[in-house]
Amino acid sequence: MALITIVVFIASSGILAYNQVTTGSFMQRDIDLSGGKQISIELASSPDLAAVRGALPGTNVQLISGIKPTLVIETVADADEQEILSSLASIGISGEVSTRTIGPLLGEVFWKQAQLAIVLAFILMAIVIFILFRSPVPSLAVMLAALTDITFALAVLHLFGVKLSLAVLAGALMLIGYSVDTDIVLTAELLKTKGKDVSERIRAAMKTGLTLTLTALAAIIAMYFVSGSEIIQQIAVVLLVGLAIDIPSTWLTNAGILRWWIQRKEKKHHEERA
Amino acid sequence: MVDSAKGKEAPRRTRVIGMKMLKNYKILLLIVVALLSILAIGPNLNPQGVLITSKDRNSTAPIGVGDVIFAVNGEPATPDLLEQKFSGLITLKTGKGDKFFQNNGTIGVHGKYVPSTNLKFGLDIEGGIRTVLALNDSDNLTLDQTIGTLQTRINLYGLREANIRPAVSDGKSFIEISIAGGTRDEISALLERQGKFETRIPLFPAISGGAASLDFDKKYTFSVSNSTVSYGNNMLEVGETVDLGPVPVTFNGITGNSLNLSALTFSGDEVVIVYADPQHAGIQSLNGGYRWFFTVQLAQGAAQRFSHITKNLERVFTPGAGEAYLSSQIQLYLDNELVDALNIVASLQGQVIQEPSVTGFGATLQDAQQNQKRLQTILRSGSLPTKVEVVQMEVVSPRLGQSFLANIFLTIIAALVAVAIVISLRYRKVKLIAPIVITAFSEVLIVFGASVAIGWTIDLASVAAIIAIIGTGIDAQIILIDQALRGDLAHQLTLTERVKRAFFVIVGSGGTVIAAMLPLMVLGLGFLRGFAITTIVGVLIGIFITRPAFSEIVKKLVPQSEL
Repeated sequence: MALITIVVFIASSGILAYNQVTTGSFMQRDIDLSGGKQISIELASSPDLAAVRGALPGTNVQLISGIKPTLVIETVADADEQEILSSLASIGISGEVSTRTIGPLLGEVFWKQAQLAIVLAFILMAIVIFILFRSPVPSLAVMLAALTDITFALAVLHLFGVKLSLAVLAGALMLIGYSVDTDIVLTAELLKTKGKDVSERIRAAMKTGLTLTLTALAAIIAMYFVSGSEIIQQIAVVLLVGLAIDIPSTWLTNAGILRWWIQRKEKKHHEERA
Repeated sequence: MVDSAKGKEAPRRTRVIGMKMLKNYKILLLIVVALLSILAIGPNLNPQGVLITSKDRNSTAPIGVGDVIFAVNGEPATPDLLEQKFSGLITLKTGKGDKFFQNNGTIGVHGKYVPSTNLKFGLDIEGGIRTVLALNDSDNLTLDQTIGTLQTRINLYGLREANIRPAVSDGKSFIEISIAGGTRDEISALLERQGKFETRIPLFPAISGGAASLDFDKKYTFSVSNSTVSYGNNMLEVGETVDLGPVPVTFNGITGNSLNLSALTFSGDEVVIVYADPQHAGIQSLNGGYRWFFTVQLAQGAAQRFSHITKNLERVFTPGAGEAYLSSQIQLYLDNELVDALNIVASLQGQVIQEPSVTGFGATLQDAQQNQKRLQTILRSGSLPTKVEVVQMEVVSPRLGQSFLANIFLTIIAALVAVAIVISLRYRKVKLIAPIVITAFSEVLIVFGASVAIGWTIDLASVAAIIAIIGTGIDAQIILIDQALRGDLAHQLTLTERVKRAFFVIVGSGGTVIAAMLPLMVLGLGFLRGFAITTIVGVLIGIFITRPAFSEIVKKLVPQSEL
């Protein structure tokens, strides 16, 4: 059982590593991290997406749900937005327009910073976890769970064609916090409550932990459906997928590792006494 | 690993008394901070009028940026109304009473509806424009000079207030400029507009015997009769300019018994270099204040003209200044508007100096720096010291922004409701559910209050962070409740010890969140900075204010709710 999420972790890292080797980045980069232009148009009603895509060849067209639908068009940084807007007007689509243009130069800077931020965040997280538990096996187990959650979330997003943006990055780093939450509940319970059956203690921790995950999921689902903002939706999706995998990665894998570790320790303890 | 051993040694009695005092203090703290937050947010349920955000330089309206207009000629003010044309006597109903003035055309002030709270929202919510510039030269001096120039331009050109922030990343310099409610044209005005710069020295040759003369490279004589002034065969009108050899001189009328003239000393294209490097520019501490200086390189012709013009001036000894100055100042004009005037040291009189230095005095270092940058900018005709490239441009329509704002509050409320549903299913006791939701709400309130207190703007990323904080905050409360309610499993631990253990988990997970967010905050990756800062502030507020108070509430609830 404990192996399930380890397999998931290996498969997800495999996908990301394959991307890294073949394309130079572990996920396809969004305009934030590579440069480009994004035009958002708030519409009164949902448009015919096929017609929009037909009118705007060479662009990436998406529709964001919210109180009002928002059409999001992504294209290259030096595209002429007036031309795009008039193409849209010719098929009867117009609304409140916002644009965001990121030059390739800045995109590269962001991309470098993003990679640095991920590495630094993991190092700092590792330090905090070691300070908390002061024991290598439980600490490594917590970090494995966090890594599983993040790589799985990013790999799934990649398979669904989502690109890496600053918002996805924010979600991934926030996921560290949520992921570690449940692991600390579990680890604290197992390391600190003495003299009870391990399975009983895991069950007690799980009752708390699942409540944590479910409430977080509830807040995030609300955030996904109501916000109508692409940034917020992207953060929400990363957290959603990551929290879903966090349930098995905490309660099967991390719990399994800790159970094995505690039993081995107890066995050693008994052998020494005998 | 942290607490169990030392807790047992501590004398029980003193701890219990201590807890009782702490209990009041913790809950009280939450209440006080929440109330202060409401005060800071300052909800204004019935906002009226239009807040002035910028004023054109040629506007004659007797109000300024920050004032509120309620009505124009009795018509309720809207941002659109202010853009319309009004002629004749205008009555403005303002926050400072009724104001009257004569006008012809637009009023020349621009504004937005008075906001309903003190909360500051980012451009992606409120609408406006943000741009990031990459500089050609990435040294700090150029970065500093460019920002100084942009700020000076805003003042000189009367542009709308912009937020200008430097960023250095990966050895490259960037400048982020945001104008709330601004448009593309306003950014272009800020970045591209070049002023027409010239300096003039006023001259007042005395009229005697129907003539007045100036001595430049040779003597030039005006004839005066019956208040008409002519030069050669040309009868001069006020404002007319004649070339007296190398010096263009403008006739401004007759003042007393003298002609009122002003001589063009040099124009913008004759300023070759405005130096800013430490060899040619600096600030020194002097007599309890700060003296600043910088050197300018002028074209040969300009230096020659300066010599001709100053030759005619008188020396004035100012007691106390320790130096003599010439009787006229050199006046700096940008777009024909007098923007500054400088004294000329007497020792420069009649000299041909191609690299004069400009100096001034500031009471504080900051004043001195500001004045120095301002003058450097003016002398550069307001041009930027280096080439800039727009690498990011974000334009959000204000109307789109307003619907975002509505969405945001709806999103936060939806998140709270969703959370309330899940915990209702788990605990099924209003006594437990109500405190969780109320505490979570107060946490959101305090985060917003803190944003006002530290003056940071709430953008979409911050909103995502606030919702994520609601998630982690609720998590922490669930951990506290679950620990407190567990009678059977941990009966060997006291309630206080169980709460303490919950705090181990809470502080631990809070610590990891901060660890994960710190790099984003420090690296300042675009909008993620706001996300990281909001999350970190939220976690800290949770650990130090809301969680301790909630743990006290839980302790009170536990004996009553049997489990």
